[in-house]
Amino acid sequence: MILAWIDDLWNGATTFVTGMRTTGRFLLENLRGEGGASSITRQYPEQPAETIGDRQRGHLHNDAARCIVCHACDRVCPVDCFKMEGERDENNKIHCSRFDIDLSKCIYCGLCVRACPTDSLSMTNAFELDPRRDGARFLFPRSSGQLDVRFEESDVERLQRLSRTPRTELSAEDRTWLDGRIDPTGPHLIGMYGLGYYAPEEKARVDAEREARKKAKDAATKAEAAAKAAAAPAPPPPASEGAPKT
Amino acid sequence: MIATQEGGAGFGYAVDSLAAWLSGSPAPGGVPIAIAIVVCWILPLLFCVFPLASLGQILERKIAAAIQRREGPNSAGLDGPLRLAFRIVLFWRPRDAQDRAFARFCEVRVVNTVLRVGRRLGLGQLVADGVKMLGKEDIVPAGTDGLVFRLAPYLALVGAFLPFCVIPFTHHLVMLESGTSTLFAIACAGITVLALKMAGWGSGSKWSLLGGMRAVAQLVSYEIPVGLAVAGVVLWCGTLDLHAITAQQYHPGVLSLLGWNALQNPFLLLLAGILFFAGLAECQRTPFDMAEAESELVSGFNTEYSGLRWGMFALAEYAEMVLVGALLVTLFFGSYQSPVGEEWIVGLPVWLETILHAGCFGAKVIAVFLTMMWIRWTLPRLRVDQVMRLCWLQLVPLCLVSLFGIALVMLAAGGAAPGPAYGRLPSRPRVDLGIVGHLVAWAVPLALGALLVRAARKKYGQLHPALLELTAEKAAGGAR
Repeated sequence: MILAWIDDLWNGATTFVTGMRTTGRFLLENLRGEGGASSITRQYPEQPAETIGDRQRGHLHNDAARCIVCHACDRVCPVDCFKMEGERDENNKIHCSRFDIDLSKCIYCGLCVRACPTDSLSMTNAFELDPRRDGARFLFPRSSGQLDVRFEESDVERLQRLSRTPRTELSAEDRTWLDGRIDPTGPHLIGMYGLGYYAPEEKARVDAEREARKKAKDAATKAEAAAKAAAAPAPPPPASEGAPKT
Repeated sequence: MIATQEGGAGFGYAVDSLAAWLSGSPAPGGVPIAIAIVVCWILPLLFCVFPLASLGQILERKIAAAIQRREGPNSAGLDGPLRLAFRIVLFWRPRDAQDRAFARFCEVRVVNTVLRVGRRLGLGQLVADGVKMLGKEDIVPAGTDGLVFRLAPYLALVGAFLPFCVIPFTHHLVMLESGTSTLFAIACAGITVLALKMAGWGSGSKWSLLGGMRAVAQLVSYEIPVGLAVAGVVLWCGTLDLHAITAQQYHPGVLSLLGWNALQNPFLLLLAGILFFAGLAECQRTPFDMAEAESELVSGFNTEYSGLRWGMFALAEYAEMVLVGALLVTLFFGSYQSPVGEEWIVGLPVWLETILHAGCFGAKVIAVFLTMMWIRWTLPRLRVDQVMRLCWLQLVPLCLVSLFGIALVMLAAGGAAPGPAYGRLPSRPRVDLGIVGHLVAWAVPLALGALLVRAARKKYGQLHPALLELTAEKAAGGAR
């Protein structure tokens, strides 16, 4: 019986030491900056995010050219985040003249996309909401009442025009005006996006830009990693080490 | 200044003079001294402990992150508080002028570096967490036992902080030197049990009640190994006075490390380990946090507490961690003595000596602290029965064996000889083994233990055949 007791103690002690050694190794690796957080955790806002799959349910995008303002999305939306208006052209065809998506309400459920009879609504894989960091712009009203505030016609035109121009090419005056729109403490908008004003070619351009930027960053990190690997002479693979020895 | 009086009992002196003053007898300078005690001891303790506790929290989060291969808090810097300071100091200027001044200040290279490092370490979390905690609503749910509910956090704090009265932080910085300070520390720490039980009962919630019950069961059980481990040291040193125990561990020469109790014989080392684990259980840290058990009991006795009341419990927990560290260091690891010789420190001016001793003490306590965190992020929580089993079937018998072993060693040493005097403390009789005796005291129990373990492994240490097969397969796979 005493021997069993001692064996129990011994088992406890050795397994304890094994566990402590494992976590201790992680701790040291992390403190030395190798194999720990630096290699496993991606520091998202500073480093580019992992590639988002095409099926990511990101921000909604409405192709205004195909939208027939049938309100199918509006009806199916569980949080009531759409505001839309249509007008008829000379051929009596209906066109979307205003299509606002309140991104502060949207729960990214995708029901509207399924309901859309003309496939004009789609979900992009964009998910970043900071217009200062991203080329894209967001409509992100601070309260739903703001969506009912009609812009001055000239303001809308200006928004439309500016949203098709890359931010870097904007004049200083336009930029301050836009930034005034996206001032968090400002009266109206935090950002703009998802307006029907977001033209398909603009979306394609922004997407291409983002893709290019992502590729460049990935290449840079890869090159850096390769340089690091070349500098350090063949480090042992951590995976085989990680398994506790039995 | 007060503690440097002969006897060092600043606190006791103040209490005496206060009592004399209350009883009407003239006590020269009684009240001023009592006020001085409050100013010199209690306020610094509070002002040190609050930031230290939050510092412990941030340290814990960083270590947890490192062990789990994350970064931990890495964004919240000191920029915000600094900007706030500018806002307050330059309150009469317009806001953009304040911001411009702040920006100019941040461009100074040193400030910039400090801010960057602060952001990297997430030091802003210190401030943010504190402010958040203070700002939370103080909720007293309906159906609570009002007085008990409100009293419990204070009692927890008292139980956690009172024992610090008798801990010798440095040679001169001892609040209360008493012949029974070890007993005092352990008795005061026992108040926590009552506090947790009150919290559990007073909350009027079943989760809390369960948590409180568990806490009481666990704490009361683990006080036995703690008491026995301390009894081992008391047996070895022949005194209950923590400062005298410190003096007993004084070893002349460069290798003052050798005087530490934990290095006297394997039994004392074992007791140090037991005190460490039992202390871990006493302050309800993982893997012994079954009273809080977030996943089972919704934080147990903490459930109904919010804001500052919850903060008091959290603070008490960290204070208790420090207390366990301090007791462990005082009893087993030479207290504030440096491991590389003591004579050159004791000979220094008092203020320098105090700083060096406090540094040694702090470093040792922090080492214990870090080990506790390391363990917390390594081991999963024990089940209730496992906690009790560890206490009653493993730690307590080990304590008894160690006590017996210590008694045997002392018997073999044949009585105590007068030891060297240490600093202002008088010479006391101590067990003197000599170098050969020391080696024998280490070698014989270790050899015996090794024999026993080997026999045990031989009889019971066989893996299950299926497990053996698995390991063989794994080895083959690894080779391939």
